[in-house]
Amino acid sequence: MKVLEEINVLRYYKPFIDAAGGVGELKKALKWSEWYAVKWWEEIFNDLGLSSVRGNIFARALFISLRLRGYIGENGHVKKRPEKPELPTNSYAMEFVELHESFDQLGAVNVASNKVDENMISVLYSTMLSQGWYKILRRTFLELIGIKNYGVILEPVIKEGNVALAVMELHTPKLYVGFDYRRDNVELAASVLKAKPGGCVGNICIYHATTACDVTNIVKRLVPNGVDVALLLHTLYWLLDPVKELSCIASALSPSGKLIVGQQVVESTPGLVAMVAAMGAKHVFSWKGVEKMLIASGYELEKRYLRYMPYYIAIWKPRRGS
Amino acid sequence: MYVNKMKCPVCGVEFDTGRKEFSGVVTCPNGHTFTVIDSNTVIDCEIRDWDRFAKLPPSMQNAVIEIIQSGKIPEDMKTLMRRLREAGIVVCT
Repeated sequence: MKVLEEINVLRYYKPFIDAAGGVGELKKALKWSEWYAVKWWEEIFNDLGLSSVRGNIFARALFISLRLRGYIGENGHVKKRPEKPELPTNSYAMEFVELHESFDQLGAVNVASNKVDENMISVLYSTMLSQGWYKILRRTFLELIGIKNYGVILEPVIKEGNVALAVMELHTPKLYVGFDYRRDNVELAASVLKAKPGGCVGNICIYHATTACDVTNIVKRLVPNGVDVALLLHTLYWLLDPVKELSCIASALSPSGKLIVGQQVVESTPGLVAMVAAMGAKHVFSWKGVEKMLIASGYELEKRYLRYMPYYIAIWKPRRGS
Repeated sequence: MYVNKMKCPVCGVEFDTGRKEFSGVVTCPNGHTFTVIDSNTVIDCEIRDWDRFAKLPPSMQNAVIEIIQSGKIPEDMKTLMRRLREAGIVVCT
C-alpha cells in the first residue's frame, strides 16, 4: 500500500516535488514535521498529561498521528524519538521547516492549553497560506483535479479566499460562490477577491453563513440547475457538522456535479496536521474516516488520487437514489 | 474602459472615475479634490511589534519588509498584511 501511494505521489504531485528540490529535499522537510510533532507531544504530555487529548484538538492530532507511526504508546509515553534531521537547502522545503520553527516559538503547551495569542495563530495561518510551498501545493491540486473544467464552483468555508484566488489565476469560472462562518474570513476573502460580503460582484458571490445548509437556498436561487463542483481543499475538518453539511452540499450540486476533496489526514505530515488543527480545525480525520464520512453523507467515490501523502485527494459524486 | 465608483468625502456625490484601481488625486464632479489609495498600496507602514514579528518565518519577514519598503502589496500577500495590521504587529498611518 505504501509503495503504491509513493508511486501515485510521484505521478500526481511531480510539480510540487520538483519545486521542493526533489524527493530527497522533500523527505528532509517531512522528517522535520515528524521531529517537531514528537517534540511538541512530549512537552504537552509532560506538562498536561494524556487528558490534553480530550480537551484540545492540537494535542489530539499529535496523539493520533504519532500513535499511528509508533512514536508513542497507548498511554502517551514516547517510545522512540526521531533523529534531528538535516536541514533542506531548497527554499520551498526550507519554508516548510521555518513554519514549524515559528509555530514552535508559540510553545506547544501554550497552544494545547489555549493560552496562546489568538492573533498570532491567525497570523501564522495567513503566513502558511501565503508561503511559496503552500501556493505550489494548492496550484498542483487545482491542476490535478482539472479545475478548468468546472464553470460554476461552490467553495464551502472560503477562509481567506486564497483557493478562490488561485482558481481565478487558472481560469475564469462562470460563477464562484463561497461562504464562511467566520466574519473576519468573509471580509478578508471579499477584500482579496474584490467582492462584497452578502452578495455577488461580477462572477464572485461571498456570504457569511454558519453552515453549508444555511447557503443551500441562496445557491439554488443563484444556480437553479446546481453547481458543477463543490471544492473542499483542507475544508472538511473546518466544517462544524460535516455529515449534515455534506448532505446539504449534495443538494446544491447539478445532476453531474462533483465534490472534490483535498484533506490533510492523520497519516499525512504529523506536525503540519497538528498546526493546522490548532489554526481552527474542528476535527481530525484518518483517510478512511474521510471516506466513511462521505459515504455516510450520500456520496460515492469516483476517483481517488492520493490517500494521505501529501494529503488525501479524491473526486466524489452524490450516490444515485440517496 | 474601467468603472470605479467612488463617493466624494466632501459632498457625498457618487461618480465613476473610469479608471482601474489606482492611488492618486481625484476630483469629483462638484470640484472637490481628494486622495485615493487603492487596496494594493500601503503608505507609511512600520513594524511596531518586533518581538511578535520575529516569530514569523524569516522568509516571510523579508517579504513583509519588502512590501513595506515598496509600498505595494501583491494580491496573495494582502491577507497576511491585513492580519499583521489587525494584530498590531504592523501599523500604517
